[in-house]
Amino acid sequence: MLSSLATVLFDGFAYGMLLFMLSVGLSVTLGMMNFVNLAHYAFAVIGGYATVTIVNKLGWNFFVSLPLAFAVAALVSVALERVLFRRLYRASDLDQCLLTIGIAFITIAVFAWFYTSEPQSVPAPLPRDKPFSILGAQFGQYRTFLIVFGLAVTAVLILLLEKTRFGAQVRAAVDNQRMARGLGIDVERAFMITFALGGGLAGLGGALSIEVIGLDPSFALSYLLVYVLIVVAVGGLGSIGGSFVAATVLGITETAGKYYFPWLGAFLIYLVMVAILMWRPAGLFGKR
Amino acid sequence: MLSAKKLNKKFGSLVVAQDIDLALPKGVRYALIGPNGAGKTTLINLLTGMLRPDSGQIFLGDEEFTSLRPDKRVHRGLARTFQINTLFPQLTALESVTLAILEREKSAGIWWRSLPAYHAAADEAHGILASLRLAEVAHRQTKELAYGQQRLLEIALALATRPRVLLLDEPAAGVPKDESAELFEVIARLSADLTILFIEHDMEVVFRFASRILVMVGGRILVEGTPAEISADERVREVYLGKRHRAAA
Amino acid sequence: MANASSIAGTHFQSKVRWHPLEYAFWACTLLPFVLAPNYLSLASQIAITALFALSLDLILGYAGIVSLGHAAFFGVGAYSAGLLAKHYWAEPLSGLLAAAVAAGIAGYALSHVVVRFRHLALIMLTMGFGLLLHEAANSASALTGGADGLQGFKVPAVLGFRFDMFGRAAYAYALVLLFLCFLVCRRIIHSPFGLALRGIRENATRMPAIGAPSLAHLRKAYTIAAVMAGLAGAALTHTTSTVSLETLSFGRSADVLVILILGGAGRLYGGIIGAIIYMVARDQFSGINPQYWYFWIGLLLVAVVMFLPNGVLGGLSALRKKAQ
Repeated sequence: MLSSLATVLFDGFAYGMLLFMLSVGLSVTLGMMNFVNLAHYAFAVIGGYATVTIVNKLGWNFFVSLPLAFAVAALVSVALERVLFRRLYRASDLDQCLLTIGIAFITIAVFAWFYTSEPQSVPAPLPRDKPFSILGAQFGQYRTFLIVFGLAVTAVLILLLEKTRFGAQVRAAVDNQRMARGLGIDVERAFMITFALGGGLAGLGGALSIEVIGLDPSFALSYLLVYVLIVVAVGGLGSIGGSFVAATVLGITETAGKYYFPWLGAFLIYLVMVAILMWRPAGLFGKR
Repeated sequence: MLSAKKLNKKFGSLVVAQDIDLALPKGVRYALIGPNGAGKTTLINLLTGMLRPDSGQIFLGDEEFTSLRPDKRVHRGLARTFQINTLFPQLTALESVTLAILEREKSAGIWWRSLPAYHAAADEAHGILASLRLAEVAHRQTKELAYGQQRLLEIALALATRPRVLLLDEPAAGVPKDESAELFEVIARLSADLTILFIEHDMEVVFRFASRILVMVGGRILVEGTPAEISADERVREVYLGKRHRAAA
Repeated sequence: MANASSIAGTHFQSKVRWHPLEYAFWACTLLPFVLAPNYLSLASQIAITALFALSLDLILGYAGIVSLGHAAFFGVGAYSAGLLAKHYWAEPLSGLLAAAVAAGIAGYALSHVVVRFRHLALIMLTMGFGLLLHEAANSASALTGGADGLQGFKVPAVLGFRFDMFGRAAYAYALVLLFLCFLVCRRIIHSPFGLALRGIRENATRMPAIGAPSLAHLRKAYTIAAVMAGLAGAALTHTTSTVSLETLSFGRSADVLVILILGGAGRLYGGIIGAIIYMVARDQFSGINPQYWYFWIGLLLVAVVMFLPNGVLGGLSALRKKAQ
């Protein structure tokens, strides 16, 4: 019982790390520009398919494909930001939602065209049948990798945001965009870089999640979109710490729910989200 | 008519209202003056319920309504206008004012009767617009009106609520000087029973149209009196008029 | 004064009067009976979807509340009608009443929460409630049939007209319901309440300052919209004699939003025109390959937001202004 609890917590935490990488970019860009980007998860899908292509078609190693997945997703996100999104920063929430849902739909169809709508997979990056075993509890190798990797990404992000000049600019822009402009910060440039970083991280998350969640063109819409939005809304806009906590809690709740109350489905998660938002509309760590 | 006792409000560590005591008798034309950031608009927001005071009480007549919702205060007879146009861009002037009248009559929740049945309200709205020289543009969308006309529509909307007390937040903000005098002529002609408090920076206008003047500095009411008293007051000269005289010199 | 009275009066009268094109439009809705008897079941689906979009227009187009969970009320209506038909009796008019009451109660209850929020929190909450209800219906399979949907009942006829395979009665039923609800909506739009809703959309800050109880107005609008969405759901149940879990899905909420925006939100005919274009296009494209339907609808959304911000009807009226 205790050992199964440890495994559930562990798996949930690993899952939370994935959700964190998938959503942190959206949280920060939403906080900066108030741009409701429902197409954010499309970057995850792009990263996922990039890895599938590199591993299965080119035969490269899974871990080598990760930086490439990041780069491809980052490039696409910057292109979209330049061409489409920046025209709509002043538009209504609704217009932003609609445009980005439209892009999401297009992404789904494009990948369905090139890769069929069958679920895709890659050969196991790390052996599945040799979990670490500590005191009877089993910890999968890949999930251990996810946790270490996720924590490292979090640490790098926090350092980047707290200790660098660029980070200070981003924080100022999230806090008060007009003031930041007044101080001579090039908000557009900071935003573009943040957008690329966030898109790249989502791509990385998409690549890493193939082994855990799977990958097909529409899984993202029905599944990721909702979960990513939950993390962002519950964590609070523009808050890396908030996203981290929300993603971890969501990951563990989801895993525990599946293990202990399978008949509840996602009911529990939606209930918690609705309750938290009613209590704190700006999210747990949001200021607005 | 409208009075306040010991109103206090802080935004974080910034004090925007401190121990404000206020009593506006019926029919008096008050000017509220003071340097930028003195808390004039905040005071209007507190009185109308758009902000909640940290402490203190507000009364209209004998009734305390410190914690009453803004829309209910309007029904009790307290109306305001906004410094920055806060109008309904895609409604016509007539629709906007008619809406305010229907809200006053508590018939704006009725969804089963058609608007033409409320021609009395529409006529009243037209009358208000005519009294503010807006009859000709009554059928235009608000966003198509000239800026000065939009300022007048601000007042028309407030008048449509049939206020007993009217708080005007810089009614002539952004209006050229010659038009602003005209606008205040209109305000001066309003019913003598109506208590009016207006925020205004132009001292010429203030001394011409106010029967009493309130001076606010740093969230406090510095002094209150007739125009003659205020212009003779040393403290006021120092913080307010003094600066202007020096700037002019 | 007599002069002013006539001016002020006609101002509203001219807006309320029916336009000749409106008569023509409703006359055209009868054409499928003659011209496309094989497509009557599609036509009845369109009428139902149009009614659903019309109900969303009331809160989104006129009052300005974004909702990504409007299917909740459609589904409540559909399941109420289905449960009544399955366990008690299959007379559809009482089913409509039951659906309206159930959806209305759900809408009224939710309205107390929803109208207090804006922006992302509002989008997330409406979506969250929609998802919650979907999951609840999925889990409560004893009552709802779960993922298989509610089956095993048959609504034979309405007022003596049989729901047959040709769909004549089905289309007539859906069309009459749509038309009646349209009349109600039209009346609402041109009523004092409709004016107040537009006021809230145009400037929510000003409304309290003219004495408007904005939240009460919004709650009322939300409840009315929920009732109409429930009626649409019930009509789908009656004309198909099944209730699928999909009636509560996020996809349905997103679809109806797309339909309304496509046609033009805040215009009485926006939802109806949007439903016709969307459903006919989907029927055609699905014939070729259902996979790529999403591609076209996505492209359409991007195009509408970038180039047709007020939908098809908004674009048409802009064209007409240019021509004049």
